[in-house]
Amino acid sequence: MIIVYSLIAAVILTALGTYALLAKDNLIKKIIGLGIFTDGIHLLLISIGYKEEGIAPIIRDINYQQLGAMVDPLPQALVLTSIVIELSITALALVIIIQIHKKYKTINSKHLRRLKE
Amino acid sequence: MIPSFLAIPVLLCAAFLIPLAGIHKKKWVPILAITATLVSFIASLMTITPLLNSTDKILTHQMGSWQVPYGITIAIDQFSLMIITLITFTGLLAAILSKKYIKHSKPEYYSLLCLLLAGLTGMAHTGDLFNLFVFLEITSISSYALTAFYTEKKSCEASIKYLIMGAFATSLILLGIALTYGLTGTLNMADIAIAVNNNPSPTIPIIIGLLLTGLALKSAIVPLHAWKPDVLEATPIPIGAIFASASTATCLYAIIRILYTIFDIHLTTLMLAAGTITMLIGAILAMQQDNILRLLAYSAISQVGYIMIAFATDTTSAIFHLFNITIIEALLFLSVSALLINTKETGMTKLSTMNLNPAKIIPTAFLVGALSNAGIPLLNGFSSKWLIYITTLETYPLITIAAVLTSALTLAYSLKAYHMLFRSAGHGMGKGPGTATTKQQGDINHNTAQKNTGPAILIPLITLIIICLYFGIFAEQGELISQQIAESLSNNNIYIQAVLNK
Repeated sequence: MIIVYSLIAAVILTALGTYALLAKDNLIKKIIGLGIFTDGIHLLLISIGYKEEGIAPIIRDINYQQLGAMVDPLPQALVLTSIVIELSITALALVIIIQIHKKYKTINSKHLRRLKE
Repeated sequence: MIPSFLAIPVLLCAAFLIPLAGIHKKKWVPILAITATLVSFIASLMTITPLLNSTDKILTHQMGSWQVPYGITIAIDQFSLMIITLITFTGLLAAILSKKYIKHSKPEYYSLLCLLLAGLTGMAHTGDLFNLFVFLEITSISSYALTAFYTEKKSCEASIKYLIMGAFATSLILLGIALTYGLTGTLNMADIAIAVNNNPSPTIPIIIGLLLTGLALKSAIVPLHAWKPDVLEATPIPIGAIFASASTATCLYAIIRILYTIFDIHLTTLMLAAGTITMLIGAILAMQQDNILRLLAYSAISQVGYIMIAFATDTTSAIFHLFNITIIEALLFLSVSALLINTKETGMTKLSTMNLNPAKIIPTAFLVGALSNAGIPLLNGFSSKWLIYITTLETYPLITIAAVLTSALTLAYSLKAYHMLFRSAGHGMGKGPGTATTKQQGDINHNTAQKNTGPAILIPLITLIIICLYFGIFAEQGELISQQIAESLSNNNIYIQAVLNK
């Protein structure tokens, strides 16, 4: 049952993120929207590897019949990588937004010359 | 071990060493960057012989010696090797020219340049879908940073625009990869190809749509091209040369790899429609530009349209044109960057009144690039465009007409740009009418700024001109190589077997 909830949550998150990205004019809000969108995808990835009553995928103190009960570790590794990438993109975006604020004294994308076209 | 794989660690190490070198010994910075790109170029050349001698013309390597479907696979076939050679070659030439173009040898510039090249080279090497995404992100992040390099109004604006669109596109690719993993339970490209073939599912069109949308934005296919003119206008021009040539070629490579090798579908109608629209709209918009960099950006967009059309009809001509366009765009952008070495002005109307005092080689290089871009015989652009005309004429004569029309438009705006940059009244200042050479001799002492000549400019431009002429005159050689590459792409079983039977 948890898997259904997490899939629904993933869909809601991606929809929210897309909305914020498209509808908000504030650049910071756009970046937040981007983060929410990507996190929705992360949740989807995690749900793909999820198993009901699964155990941690570490082969040490278990017998091999339990192998099938392990959750899939690969999506978790992918999500970790993706989170790091998202972090660096957010950091870079914030640096650029600071520069924009210095030059234009605004972070509203409608007031930037070329972005409104 | 694949020799060309060495390029990735070398470029990454250079990217981290360059800022360290920049603290005390600034003059070492460009030399380090040029050495790293030169080493990676030589490494990719050294891969040609082992690749052609191997049994099925594919070299594979497992990272960390995991068994095949697990771990990260490095697999290169002839198409990958062509792209890798082009990336490292244009990267080398751009690094050489940057030595002259970038004043005070800024370490962050060269560091990001090496990071960008490492990302692109990685994209062409990998045989793993998620690894492709990671390298694409390395490329993207360094691209966003390089776009904002001058921290002026227009570069910050272009950068945030590119960042928001690009990050959304890469998120779509990640979503596609997540669905692929959910469907097939593997990320190895060859393994996915087998799983998809055995078990066709209604999710596959969605996955293809997501992956294609993301990569189409990255390679600036109309209607997802809006970022490209702004970005190319704002970056340092040698970087623009890489964006217009190597980055676009690599993203097209990724599209072809996903469509042909993984899903084994060709999407003829979609490619034809998108290609025709891209080609025409790019050329029409280029006609209206006054800014030389925006003009070249739209020109680059319109050339991508040709490649898409060619992929829908005949892969040989597509690969040949992809090669030629990469060389031509690099030549055009590098000659413009050599011309504008002392000024940040890029509007052609203003430039035509300025005394730019170019060295003789620069107008020649721009003219060769412009004519080749338009498809004038004896230059490489013609050899591949002729193939495209012939192959489309059999099946889609209307598209041939559109392609010829676009070539005519290309010739018109390229010659307009040439005339305004090099032959206008302003260049004669005080001299009567005469050839460009005599005008320029009178004005040499006029300019106290850095002269735009020297090996850093001559080497890249002359090499590119020679390649343009070579593949224009000996077109059948290029055709022969492209035909071999096209054959290797036509059957994805060879790739799958070579990767899985390692």
